[in-house]
Amino acid sequence: MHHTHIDRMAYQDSCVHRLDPRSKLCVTLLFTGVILSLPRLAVSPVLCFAVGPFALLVLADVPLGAVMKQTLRASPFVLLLGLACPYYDRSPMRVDFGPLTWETTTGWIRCGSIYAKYCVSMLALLCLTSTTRFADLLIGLQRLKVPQALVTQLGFLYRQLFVLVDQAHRLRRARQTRHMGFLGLSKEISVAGSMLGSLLFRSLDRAERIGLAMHARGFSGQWGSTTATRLEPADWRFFGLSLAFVGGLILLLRGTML
Amino acid sequence: MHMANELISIPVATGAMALSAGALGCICRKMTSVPVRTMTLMGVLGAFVFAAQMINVPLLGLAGASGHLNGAVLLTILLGPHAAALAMSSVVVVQCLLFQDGGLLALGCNLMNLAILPAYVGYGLYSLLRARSAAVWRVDAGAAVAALVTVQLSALLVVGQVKLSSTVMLPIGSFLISMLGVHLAVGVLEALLTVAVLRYLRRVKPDLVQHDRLPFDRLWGRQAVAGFAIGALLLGGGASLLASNRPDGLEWSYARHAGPAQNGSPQNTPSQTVAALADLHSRLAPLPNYGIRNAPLGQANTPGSNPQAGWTSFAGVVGTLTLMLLLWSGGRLLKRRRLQGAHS
Repeated sequence: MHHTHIDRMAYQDSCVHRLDPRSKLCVTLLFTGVILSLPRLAVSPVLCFAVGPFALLVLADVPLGAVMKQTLRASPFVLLLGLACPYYDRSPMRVDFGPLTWETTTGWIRCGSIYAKYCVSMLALLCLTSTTRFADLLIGLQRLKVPQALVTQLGFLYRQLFVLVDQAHRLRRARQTRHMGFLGLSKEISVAGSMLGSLLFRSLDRAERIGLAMHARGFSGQWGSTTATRLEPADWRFFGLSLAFVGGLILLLRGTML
Repeated sequence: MHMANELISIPVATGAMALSAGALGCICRKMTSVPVRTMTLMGVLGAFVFAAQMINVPLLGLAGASGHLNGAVLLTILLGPHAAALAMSSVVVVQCLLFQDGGLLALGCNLMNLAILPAYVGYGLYSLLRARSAAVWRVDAGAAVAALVTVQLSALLVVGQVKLSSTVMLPIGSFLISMLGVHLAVGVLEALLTVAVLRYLRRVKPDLVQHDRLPFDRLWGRQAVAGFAIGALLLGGGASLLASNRPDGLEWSYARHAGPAQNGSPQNTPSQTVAALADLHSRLAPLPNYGIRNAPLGQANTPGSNPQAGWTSFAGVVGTLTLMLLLWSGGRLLKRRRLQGAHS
């Protein structure tokens, strides 16, 4: 596993990738906020908002199959709580949808709204993360006055993450080769404790070496980046377009919020 | 347990975000003068928490039933509360941004539930029970209780936030009991694993655990108190906005107050408070007038069941799908042309 495995799509080049991370982050936050403030029983308006992130994903040439897979991997918590709605909220209501009219309960509409919001906000988040390299995102956060300690911490975490996850996989494979069925809970826990402990030692060793090496090279706690991060006219255009899209859609769908 | 965007309302999300941002700001201010070696240690231990979550423990011999360490209490024992809170926060942020666990707006809640409170509460409990003695059983008991309580605490916070947002309609009692019940098992496993790791560390490298960490100094300076006060105010303001975020509940209350003849218009309601609330609602709601178009069936002549609105939303969805299809095929066409251009 390598960090480009996760960030693979962020290393392409397109007009969306070239936007400043700050503008993308702000627009994603705004978009998610608007999606979440739509009424609890809105389904189709939420779906209409999906066009925005979808267009960006197409523009950025991100493979849509991967995006769909990630979106449909719904978190089980949302799934469960969404399904609890029709069970507990059974007041009947009539739904008009074009030529169709049917009767259902508010619980089902609520559940549909939760899932629709989940999908659309997930699409927006994926749009941000699959067009922005994590290192650039960190620079953006730094420029947005996020405290330096947190940004440094995130940078170290991101750079070490994949190495340690690899080691964890190796430890797991070693256990699997020696493992003969279930050993009993106490034995399993002590085995896992030893594995975690040795992983911890390797991490501490690694931290020691990296700390010394970075200290020797004069690292002062600030990450640099070779890509320019200036707000270009394209960023302002993107910002304006996004505002116009969200505002226009709200105006257009006013009064039909079901 | 990651909180998701869709389960919380905007006021709760922003309130939690303000609280966690304030707390993180204070922690970062405390952490400005740490040496690079400590920074790397924190960063690598954050990555360790990620990797540790990959190491699963098979449970009960069933296929697929397994659990893993969450690591907040282990980190807070090893690093002290400030550094552990920061390291766990970075873990939560990366989980959100790279792996899409939770969502951007739920980040505040997640930071609070999974990083900041577990670190401080866990450290408090651990140091209370350990009471600076080096006795093995005291260290183990402190770690176990801290792990158990912090897991329960984050489950409790999730229930509280979901309830405060009232996005999903759940009877609070059964929700609370089921969440705490499930997290009791998670907490017991967390406690057992934390103790197992500490035992291993004691056997192999005793100074890591026996060594007394940073004293539990007076955490909160004036800025911290101010930050929490502002957060609490925001949260309070958010709670009062909750009424405006619940158009459905409000409309139902109109219907109850107005009676069938007056047909739910707020001017005709006998109660002054309802009218005032309606006014407030229309001014404060981010998207006013979007209440339920289709009101409950039981009342005749309700504003619901509006075929025109139904047609508009139908057109909206069909238009959206068509636009997406067009965009997608356009993108494919352009890509093919670009590839051909590259070949020729």
